[in-house]
Amino acid sequence: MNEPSTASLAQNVTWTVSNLCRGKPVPELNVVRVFIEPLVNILKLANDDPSACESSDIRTDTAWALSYLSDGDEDRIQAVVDSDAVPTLMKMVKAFPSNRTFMVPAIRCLGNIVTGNDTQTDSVLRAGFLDHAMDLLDHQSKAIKKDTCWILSNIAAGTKDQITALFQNFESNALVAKLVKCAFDAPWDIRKEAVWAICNILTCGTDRHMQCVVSVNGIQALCNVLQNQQDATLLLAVMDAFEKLLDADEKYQRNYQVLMDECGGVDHIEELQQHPNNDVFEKASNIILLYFGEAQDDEDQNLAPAMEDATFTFGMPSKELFPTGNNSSKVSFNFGGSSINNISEV
Amino acid sequence: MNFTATGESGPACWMAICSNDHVGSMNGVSLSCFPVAHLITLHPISPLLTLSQLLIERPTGKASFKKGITESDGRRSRHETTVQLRKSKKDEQMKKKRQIAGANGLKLSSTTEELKEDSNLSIPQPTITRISELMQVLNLFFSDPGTVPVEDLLDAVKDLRRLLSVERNPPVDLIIDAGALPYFVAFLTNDEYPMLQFEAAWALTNIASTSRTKDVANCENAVTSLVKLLYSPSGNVREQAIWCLGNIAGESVSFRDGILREPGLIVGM
Repeated sequence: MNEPSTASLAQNVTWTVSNLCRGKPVPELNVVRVFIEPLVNILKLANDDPSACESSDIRTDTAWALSYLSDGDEDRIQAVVDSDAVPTLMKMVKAFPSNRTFMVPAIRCLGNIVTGNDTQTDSVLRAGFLDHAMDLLDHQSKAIKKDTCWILSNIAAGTKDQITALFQNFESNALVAKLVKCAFDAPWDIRKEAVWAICNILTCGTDRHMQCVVSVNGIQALCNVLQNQQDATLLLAVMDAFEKLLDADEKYQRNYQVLMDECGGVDHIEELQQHPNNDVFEKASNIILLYFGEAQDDEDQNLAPAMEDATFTFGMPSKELFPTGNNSSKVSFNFGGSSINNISEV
Repeated sequence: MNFTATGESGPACWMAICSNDHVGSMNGVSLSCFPVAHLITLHPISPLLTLSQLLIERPTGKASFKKGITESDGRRSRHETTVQLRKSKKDEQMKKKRQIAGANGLKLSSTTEELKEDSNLSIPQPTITRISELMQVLNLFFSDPGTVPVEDLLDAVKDLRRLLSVERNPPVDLIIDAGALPYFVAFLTNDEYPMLQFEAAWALTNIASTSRTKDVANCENAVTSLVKLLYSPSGNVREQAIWCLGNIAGESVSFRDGILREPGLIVGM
């Protein structure tokens, strides 16, 4: 590997090494880490000679090998980061953006690195990933679009500075606006990742980050997602983000509540109170209870939650939350095994 | 295992055989012996398994926030494809077969008839006969080495390799059933005859690229001998050994680990 005498040999060795690094359970780091530096060196060499037709295969197989090697815990990621892989991969991302067969594993590898700690994530940011993020979100390949959103979602789960980088140090909302657009209308796989990204910005970011997301219509995008009830984890993430928004609303009077309502978010959350997943319906109920359960008029006064004896009765706001009569059997809140209208505190 | 060569079968004769063949020179420059078409996309992209995404722990400096996403970080890892999924794609993607460049049929030595390209799944009788003939040479060599000149042995191995290199329906099962595998593996250790090592490794590579990978991998000493070939002075031999090991590694995690554990592998690579 250290001095492949021919391009063909380099090609074969990178392919075989990629097979040796591949598969779960992953091979022991101490055994395979020795491959990392030679792989990066081969990548650099292949980069220098892009015209050789074998180079393309070599780049691709090397990138796959690095993506396998970086798939795992922080130790593995660190071993890859230490080898200068990140700038080398980024250099090739810049140089060959349309080469899908190379780009897919390269982006995958960078994505794996960004699942690591803050410092490891910084290595990807320092290498200039965000400069290309807009283009990557427009890439022909669905897999690359998806993985890019995934990467951005993990950056958004990082430090405040890293989230600020998504807004180009507050000089531009363009990238986040694009994420919001993906959250609106991309194919579901991609959309999910974009939604995660926005949720993470809201949940992990500062108030200023939040305002930026709202300014690019983030709330509507998240409200829309609540209609798709398949993915419980995603629903919880969105509702977490909403809780953050609603907290901020209470503090700063921003009208996020009104916005959410106008966007249909409140309706969707109400529906989620009937979701089969425990965590989902509990959270949905909590949100309705805490933020939307206020009495609107006199009639509803006695329906407001009254906390006594560690139980409270759940009132009906103006909309029909709990259909009485025929359908009441559908609505079962067994927080403590109690009946519908007598719910023990969670 | 030692050969007893007749007077005419010294090294000079070996080189002459080389140059007439497709195989390419022995000085490490690769010529037409490598497959024209490479199967490059080896690795299917797995759909993200959302509900089983791992949520990675954030370092303990910062705790309190993240309810709803995870108890700590929001970072999400990705599950790679499983071994099972990879197995199903293996014939297309995981393994590469060496073929005679541009060949759609066979070129055998002049003593045999030209074989037609087979479009159905059964092996034509002439091939069956041919395999039997070739195996006789090998069998004879192993039972009574002195009676088979090395060049004949090499020709036989080459012809078997050619049979295994056809694009469609190579007679892999027949050749394995005839007992060729242990012979091929034995030839890998013949350091005095790199051509023989090369042909044997090529044959094994092609077998390992089919559904019969396990037969190669489980053959006694196969992996050990292949790893030793990583140290061969011949570039072609090294490369062929690497290729064969790649096919075996791609078959299963346990074969992969078996290769990784082999002494000399890492340095050899």
